[in-house]
Amino acid sequence: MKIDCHRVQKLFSIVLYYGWMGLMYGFLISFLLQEYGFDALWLKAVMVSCVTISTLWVAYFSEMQQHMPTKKYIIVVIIAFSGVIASAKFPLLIPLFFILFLVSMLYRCADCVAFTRIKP
Amino acid sequence: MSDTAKRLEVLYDLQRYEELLHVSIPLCASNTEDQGMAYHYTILALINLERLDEALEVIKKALAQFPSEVHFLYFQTFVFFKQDRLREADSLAQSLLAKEPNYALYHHVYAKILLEQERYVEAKRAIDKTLVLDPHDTDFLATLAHITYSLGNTPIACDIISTILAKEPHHAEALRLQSHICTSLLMQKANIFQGMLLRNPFDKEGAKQLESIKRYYQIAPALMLTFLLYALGEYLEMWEKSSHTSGVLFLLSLYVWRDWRLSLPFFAVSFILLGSVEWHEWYVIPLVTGMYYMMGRVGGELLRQLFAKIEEMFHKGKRWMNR
Repeated sequence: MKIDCHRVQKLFSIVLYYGWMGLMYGFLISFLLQEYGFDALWLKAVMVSCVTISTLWVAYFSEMQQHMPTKKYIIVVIIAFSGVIASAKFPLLIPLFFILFLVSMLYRCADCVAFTRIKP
Repeated sequence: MSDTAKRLEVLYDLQRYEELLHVSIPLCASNTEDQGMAYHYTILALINLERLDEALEVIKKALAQFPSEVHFLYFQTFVFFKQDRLREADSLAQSLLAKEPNYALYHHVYAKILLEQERYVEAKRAIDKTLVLDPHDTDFLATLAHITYSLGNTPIACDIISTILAKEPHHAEALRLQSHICTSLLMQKANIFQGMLLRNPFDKEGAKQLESIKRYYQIAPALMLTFLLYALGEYLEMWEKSSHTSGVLFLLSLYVWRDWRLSLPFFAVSFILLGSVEWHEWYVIPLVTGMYYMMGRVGGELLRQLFAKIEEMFHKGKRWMNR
């Protein structure tokens, strides 16, 4: 089986850029569940994994579709952090901010030019 | 088409540019019906001979004679682009596109100018317009691949390059891009450059790169062997341990990193000989090997870019002095 090393490198860069944000939201959501009595360890592990994987999938999908300018990345990070800050006061807003964070990655800004794929 | 025009076309196709100039230059001065064609081929021949200043003079004369001919404006834009006069080329390309917005070649040259100016988003928009007008031209696709790579998506860029090479296995620009962005193995790069030189023996950039790889395979093993012999001497306590060994190894790593199949075993053996590592601390060797490889790679790339920048500045200075 031939491994496309460029795709692996791209995935690795996405893990570095977005993985920490996914982990952060994974922990926050599992803490939220804990507050409501769902404190089983396996549930936390499943929650963190699901949130991180969905973040990485959305990020990979977005980055393979359109260009991510640095300004947009900074705004995505700011949205992610504002979710964390807001969650200290209003924990119920965490899922909402997580969705907002995912949507901000998919948002098509003025400079987010779409990549062209050529059919062989 | 007259016989003279046909002759110019044949000479151009045969790449006999000097002979073409002998025929075309007197025709440019005459007021015959072939004058426009003579200007056209004279400019093309001068561009191919890289006599760009002369080409500019001829273009100015042609534009004075035929102010409505847009393709002379295209030639002027192209020559400015070749001379790295990017601002002038940019403004000319914009006026060219305002006059003739439905010609793919003009959008393509504009995309290349924007790419050279590192305005990648605008370059992508320009190449999109080019591809709407002509989606199958391999030169346009090669520029698309370059822009896609510059926008940070190497996998899609490599897919585009593979598509071009499937259509045209000897496409020079696609091969150059493939060696630059799609291949990390040095031997594979050398094979690509050899292929490029077989196709075009006058490709200076390809020859320079191939020469650099050949030099690496001559110098790097000699340097590594010398260092390993020294390290063996230290290991066998034939001479005193030096405090500068790690510094020397770092300097070596700036050059020898290029082929990981050579450099990684070299670093590992060096650390086994020099590090006095116990058996239960074996994991230190791969860690330090990887660290030195990364340091060498980052430092080597930075040095390469620094030298390339200095060389570019010299070239710009030379061009400015000659102007």
